[in-house]
Amino acid sequence: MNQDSVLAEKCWWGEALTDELVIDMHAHLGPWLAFPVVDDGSVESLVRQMDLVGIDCTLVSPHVAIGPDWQEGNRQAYQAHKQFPDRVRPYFTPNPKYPWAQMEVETDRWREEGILAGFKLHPAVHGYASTDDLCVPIYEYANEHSIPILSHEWKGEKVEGQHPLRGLAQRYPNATFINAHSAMNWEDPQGWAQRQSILTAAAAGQDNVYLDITGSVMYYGLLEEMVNRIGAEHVLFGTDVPFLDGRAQVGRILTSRLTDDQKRLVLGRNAARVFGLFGL
Amino acid sequence: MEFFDCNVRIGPISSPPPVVPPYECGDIVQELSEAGINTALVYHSWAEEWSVARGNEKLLEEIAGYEQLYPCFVALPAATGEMQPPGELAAMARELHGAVRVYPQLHNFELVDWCCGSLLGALAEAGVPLLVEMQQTTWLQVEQVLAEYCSLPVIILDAGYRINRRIFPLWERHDNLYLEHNTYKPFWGIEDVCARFGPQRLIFGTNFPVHTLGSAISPLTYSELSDGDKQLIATGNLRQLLGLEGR
Ligand SMILES: [Zn+2]
Repeated sequence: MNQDSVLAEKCWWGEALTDELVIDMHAHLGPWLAFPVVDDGSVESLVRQMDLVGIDCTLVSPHVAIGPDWQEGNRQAYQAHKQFPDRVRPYFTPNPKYPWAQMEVETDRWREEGILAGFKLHPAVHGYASTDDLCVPIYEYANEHSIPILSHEWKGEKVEGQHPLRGLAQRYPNATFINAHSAMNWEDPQGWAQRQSILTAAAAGQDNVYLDITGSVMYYGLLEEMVNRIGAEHVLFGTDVPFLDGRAQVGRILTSRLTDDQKRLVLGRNAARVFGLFGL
Repeated sequence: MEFFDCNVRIGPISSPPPVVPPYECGDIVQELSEAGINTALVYHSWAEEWSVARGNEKLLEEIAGYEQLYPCFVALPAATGEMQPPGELAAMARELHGAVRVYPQLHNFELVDWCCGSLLGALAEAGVPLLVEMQQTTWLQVEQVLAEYCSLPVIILDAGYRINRRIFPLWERHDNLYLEHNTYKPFWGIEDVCARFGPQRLIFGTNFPVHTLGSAISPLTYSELSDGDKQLIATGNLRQLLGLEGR
């Protein structure tokens, strides 16, 4: 732990981060099949936890959207934003297995209203790979309108000797590609090393690639290692609420060995820049 | 806040991750105390990854100079005679305000009566807590142990966040079941457990140096619990189980 850190001190005393810009760029809403969710994961309950910690704004993609029903899910995301316009911003969550034309109409509407935070893709639950042709219309749209894309994970074979994330980022330079759960393991230490080196190589020097550290397990030294490899400017904070509780993730960052300025980038300043929030 | 960590490892491991975590006792103590964790129940990597008997001996040597560290011995079923008899182990653990953990999966035995009966019986009689990682056992085995040895405190480690449909019914039936809070991360999970079952069920544990310390601390410091309930989870519950209350 960094002894001179004002932010670590706040964590230790449970002091809300009211003076800091904090943006949770990876969150959901609502119930989920695998376990009970307190308060049914309502937006009110999310905002209550945001207040406790001092999170200014949360970007949501409802569970039902990453699950069976993109229409219901996006409706919920839109409503949550209308209910808390300053605190909650909606991802549009397409399911590329369904016709893009219908989703495009909805996306246009959000974009024209100025509320679209980005696209959320969930290849794992929706059953596709991020390199599938199905995704091309989404990437083209994101490229045309400079939209960030948060994807649950970038699997797949290397494309032309590279991780697919890097290839996509090069092909669609105006879109921003954010890899979710980048600091999670593949269960064993070797997997951890391999995944980290592939991911950080994909992100290194590629301005439109970011790594999101949301996850249920917080490995010793990993956040610091990622920042060493790709710079604090390319690491983003997310919690996965209400899939998970958000508070462990906050403590992990606040008490890390990063400098306070690096922590501020990770906690919110990077996300403000990427998503065009708070005038950054 | 004061913290008493139930789950800390000392000693080197076979296959560390690329950022090799601290493993010398002094370095571990230093990191713990920087994070405000002044007391811990520790086990030695040798006992998990090499030899239970040697690891337990090594543990006592290593922690000898540190009064803030309490021993967590690793145990095996008595039948193979690889370590001291269960009664002796339990008495020593109680005397030192320590505990015992088991690795049924890794060490190739079953956490059931026919295999571990004498060990479990001795621990229950001495009131020595039993710690086990959920990956090392099954909920069916845990339920049998809780039912058979109702005076044995069982602390489940590293159980993850998808466990409510299994652990809530167990908590409805068994008072001797405890959960390390570190990987228990359901949304508002700590508050939810305290509201349903009281603040006695959760025990502060970090799984250091595998996991970070701060991620175990913030869920408590940023919680809606009363200060008294926070303190029970952070230190009080474990002190009670180790016979340290009032000392
Ligand atoms: Zn998620």
